[in-house]
Amino acid sequence: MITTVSICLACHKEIPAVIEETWDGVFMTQKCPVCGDKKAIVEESVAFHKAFGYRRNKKTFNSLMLDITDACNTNCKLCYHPRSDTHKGIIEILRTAAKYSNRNIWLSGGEPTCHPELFNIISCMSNFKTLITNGHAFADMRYLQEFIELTGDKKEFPCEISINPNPHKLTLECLSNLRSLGKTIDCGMFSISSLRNIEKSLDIWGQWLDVVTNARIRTPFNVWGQQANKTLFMSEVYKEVISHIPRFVITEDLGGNSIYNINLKADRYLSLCSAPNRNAFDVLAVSNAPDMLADDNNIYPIPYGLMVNEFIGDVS
Amino acid sequence: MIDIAIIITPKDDETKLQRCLYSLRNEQCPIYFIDGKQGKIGHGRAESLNVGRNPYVSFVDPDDEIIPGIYGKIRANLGFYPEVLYHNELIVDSTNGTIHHGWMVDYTTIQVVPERLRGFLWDSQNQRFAHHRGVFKKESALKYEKQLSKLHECCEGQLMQMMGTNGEIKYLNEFGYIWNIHGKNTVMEWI
Repeated sequence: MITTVSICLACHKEIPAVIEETWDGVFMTQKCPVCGDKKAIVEESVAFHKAFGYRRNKKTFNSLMLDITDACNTNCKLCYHPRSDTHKGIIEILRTAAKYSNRNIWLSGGEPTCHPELFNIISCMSNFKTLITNGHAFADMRYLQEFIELTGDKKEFPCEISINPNPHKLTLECLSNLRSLGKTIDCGMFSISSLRNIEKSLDIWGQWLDVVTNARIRTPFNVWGQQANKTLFMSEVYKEVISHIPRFVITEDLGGNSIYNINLKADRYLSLCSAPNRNAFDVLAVSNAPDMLADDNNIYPIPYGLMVNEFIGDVS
Repeated sequence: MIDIAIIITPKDDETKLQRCLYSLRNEQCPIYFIDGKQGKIGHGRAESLNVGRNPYVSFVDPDDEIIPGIYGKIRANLGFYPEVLYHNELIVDSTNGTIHHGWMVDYTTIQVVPERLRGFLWDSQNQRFAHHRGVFKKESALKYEKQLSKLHECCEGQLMQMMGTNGEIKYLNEFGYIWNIHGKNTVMEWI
């Protein structure tokens, strides 16, 4: 049994939750003092959950994800984050960053570019690593160049840009701006709401491989089954992704409240697209060194992480 | 050449699973995770025969470990593609941490033997058999799929016996598997 922090989908408050592996699957019980207890299936395959899913190993986390604002410039249906115009104060953010000075800081939100003090925050932060954004702000070339001046003119642009199966035109403009400047981004996040969308997402990634070198795939499905007739289990996503990319590298796998992620390396993607399909999920090499996150004080409620550092196919 | 199948159940310890996977990290074999069903280990083993594309399958338990490099040695020794290739294993008694070498005489009794005897041959008459330290040719093992799915105890050992009685079996004199014993059901006999 694993205890965690979750978000109540009715009142959007952080509440305690318990995850339990049983012979019938993996279940989460949310304990909301206002809305009551709720129980739902998180994953049907215990094997998958044990091997890829939730882990609690705080000692090995070397990055911290920090929400700096609740504001956002989009209104995505699948987003679980409570939306408002409140921003966290710069002092509070910098104090937290200083407290975890031995960890890399990922800035998130809401949409962090909506924070009016974003540039000041980054310039005062010694351990800033990545900005998790939808990229709309970087569709403006002037804003993009200012950001580059601030963070240093390196090939790797320190952002993780969310790309959906039907990407927003501003996101695409941002990617083409990055392409014109010869930049690459760490991760592009592909939000997958159905198995059909996986193929679509991989096609889109295929168009931006020179920019998006490492993709983090996530399923924004609602574990409580309110947004879909059928719960999409992450093991199914894995199988589907592997059927398209038989050999790939997973660099990181995080299990959140209702979000799981898979990372794929673009450098292998191209050469592997044509390889024969697989029929089950297979993995090699699991290490206990997640690159992200989890915080002792639950600053951001993703309390688990597992890094699967290499994914090797058959060697005959 | 070899697929590794790990049957995982809710009762399995994740730390041991991590150690198990860590020991497998450089073996260059795809690992398949199979969902275990309550009281049906044989069912999981039978299911393992149907995953993956490689001709051989090896069963690793999530609480055991392999000795790194063994699958490379097995690949190099498969030669004429025997039905079963088996190797030595170290038996670790987790109650007192001692390490033994031995074989099984029935499904619950391990005969502990001195290390000098480790190069023993397959002994179907005396019904000594290896634990699941080996690789099985899927094509041959599938003949016993139905029987295997009904077994509950030491199914991989029983499968090895069934396959070894009718087919070619090869022995590789290498230590390749670390079997952690922590159940109360296993009895040890010293010879």
